[in-house]
Amino acid sequence: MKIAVCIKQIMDPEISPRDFKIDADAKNAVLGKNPLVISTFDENALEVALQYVEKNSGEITVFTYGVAKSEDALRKALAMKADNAVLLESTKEAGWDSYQTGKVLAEGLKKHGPFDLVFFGRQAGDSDAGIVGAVVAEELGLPLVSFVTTINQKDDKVFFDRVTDEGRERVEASPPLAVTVTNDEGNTPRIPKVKDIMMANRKQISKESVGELPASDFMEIISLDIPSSDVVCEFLDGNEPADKVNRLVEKLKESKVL
Amino acid sequence: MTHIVTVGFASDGKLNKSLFELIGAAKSFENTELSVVAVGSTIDTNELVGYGVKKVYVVDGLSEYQPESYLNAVLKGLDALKADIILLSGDSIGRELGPRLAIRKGFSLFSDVIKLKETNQGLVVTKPVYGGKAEAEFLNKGETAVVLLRPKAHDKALKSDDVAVEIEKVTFEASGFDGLVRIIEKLKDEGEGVKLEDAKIIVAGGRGVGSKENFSYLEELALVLGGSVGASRAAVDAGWVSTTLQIGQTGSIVAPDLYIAVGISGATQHMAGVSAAKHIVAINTDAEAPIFSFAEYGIVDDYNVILPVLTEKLREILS
Ligand SMILES: Cc1cc2nc3c(=O)[nH]c(=O)nc-3n(C[C@H](O)[C@H](O)[C@H](O)COP(=O)(O)OP(=O)(O)OC[C@H]3O[C@@H](n4cnc5c(N)ncnc54)[C@H](O)[C@@H]3O)c2cc1C
Repeated sequence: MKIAVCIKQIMDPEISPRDFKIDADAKNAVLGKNPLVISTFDENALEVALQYVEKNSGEITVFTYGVAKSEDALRKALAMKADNAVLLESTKEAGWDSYQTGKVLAEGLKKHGPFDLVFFGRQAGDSDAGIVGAVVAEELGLPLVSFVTTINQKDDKVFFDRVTDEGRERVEASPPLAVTVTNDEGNTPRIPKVKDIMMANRKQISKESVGELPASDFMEIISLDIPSSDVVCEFLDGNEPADKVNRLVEKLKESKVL
Repeated sequence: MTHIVTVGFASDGKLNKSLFELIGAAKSFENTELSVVAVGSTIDTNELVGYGVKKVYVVDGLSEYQPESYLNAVLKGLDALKADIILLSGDSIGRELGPRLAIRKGFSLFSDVIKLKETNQGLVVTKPVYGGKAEAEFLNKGETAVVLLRPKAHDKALKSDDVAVEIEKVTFEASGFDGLVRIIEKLKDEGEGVKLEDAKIIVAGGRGVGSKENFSYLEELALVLGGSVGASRAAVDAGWVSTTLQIGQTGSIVAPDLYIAVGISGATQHMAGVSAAKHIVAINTDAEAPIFSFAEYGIVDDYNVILPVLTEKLREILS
């Protein structure tokens, strides 16, 4: 199988709200001293691809569309044991329009493909849109299997376990396909070994310039704010655990939930 | 006049409940015409009487949800009309189909929308970004916009009259990719029982619970309260509970009367799933944890100490 995994470098989505600042005029988050990471679900996607290749066979190429420093995300993916990496390099941070991102990725995938399986995280941890996988599927004319957690192969049939609002289900589908991945207990991303990090630093990354994209035809961001909360927590104190519990039970009775 | 089209699904004959949230959201617009595209099998359009819906485009005969055939069926339904705004629920079906139909039709696309309004310049939608740490407003620059609404962000529409709806049957034959992606079986999972989305009381655990075994404390409390157990992503990723119990922006969006968060720090991505909860109680050893800026009542203590006492006390008074 020839496999592609599309990843995005973002500001660490796990930083505490205290370290999260925005530039309301530029309508963007301010990176400051916060780390850049591979968007979480993209790492899950790479993990699912790696597990598939370990059990069966295949070659994995990671793709990213981003500015020069996105190379770090590709290096990490190589350290996790992806085989090849392609940087579709832009001179400017990507905007909010996922169509544009998807189209750039689709072009890159066409040039280096065709691929049997093209993986994405279900959504990026900054734009939280969940659109790019679908754009690429449409651009490449591929069916899409979404919210996948695990892939298994029996003879020439490929089975995808996925999560829906109703629970888990198993899907049978024939490649070529696009796949979006969601997290479960079985696809927590591996932590690369020191030796593999060193190897990854020496690997060749294919870089292709995509220049600067025009303004979006579909959308324009008009404001960005940090929502404020007006909830004031009432702390239920007491000397003994039983005192705290009794106070909580009283409160719950007052609010009629009990 | 803005033509708003809401898309509903009825794989088992009953229209999905979130369709009525879409209609509720559409009703806040002035000067609109409201239509429904309904895809499924043996669809009972009488359910739509009384909500101000003018016309229903029915694509019938698809008994079980299969992504490719449902996608093509919705597209067929949309072909029959000219919409300004197409609303879908951002549930697992909507998030799968919405982007693809927008792209095929060349429409603009907004996902996880919590508010929308018509302005002089056009449609403006509000959506959380950066995992809910911020909220952005986007102006639609395209002609038609597909909008995926975050489940439970809008109240369901109320029935207001008995005016009949016009019904147009759309004929559709499955083809194309339909056979390439086939759902073959539902997999059994732990945590069956009341669906989290419908639960009145939820006891949810996070990384602070510490182990798979310790989730039994939460199960006992939930049992006494007649509620369900949920979890944060960290508890899922640790392998302590199934991913189907994940609550949050990328898990279930819930709206219980009571939400008890145990050993959960209160990341915005988690709290996005509980913003519709009526009462939130947090039990956490760290008085500085962000969860306390969302909780109505807080206990700063080790849950190992609090939960057994709480369960015992509730068993006493509830039995
Ligand atoms: C794109 C994206 C989507 C995401 N979607 C979701 C989602 O849908 N749902 C979700 O939950 N997360 C989601 N996350 C992850 C989220 O950002 C957090 O990492 C996660 O919610 C943290 O889980 P937690 O609160 O259990 O763990 P932690 O943040 O580690 O918190 C553990 C808490 O337990 C407390 N504690 C420790 N021991 C005890 C004890 N003995 N008694 C009481 N308290 C104790 C600690 O003080 C701490 O506050 C997402 C992240 C990304 C990037």
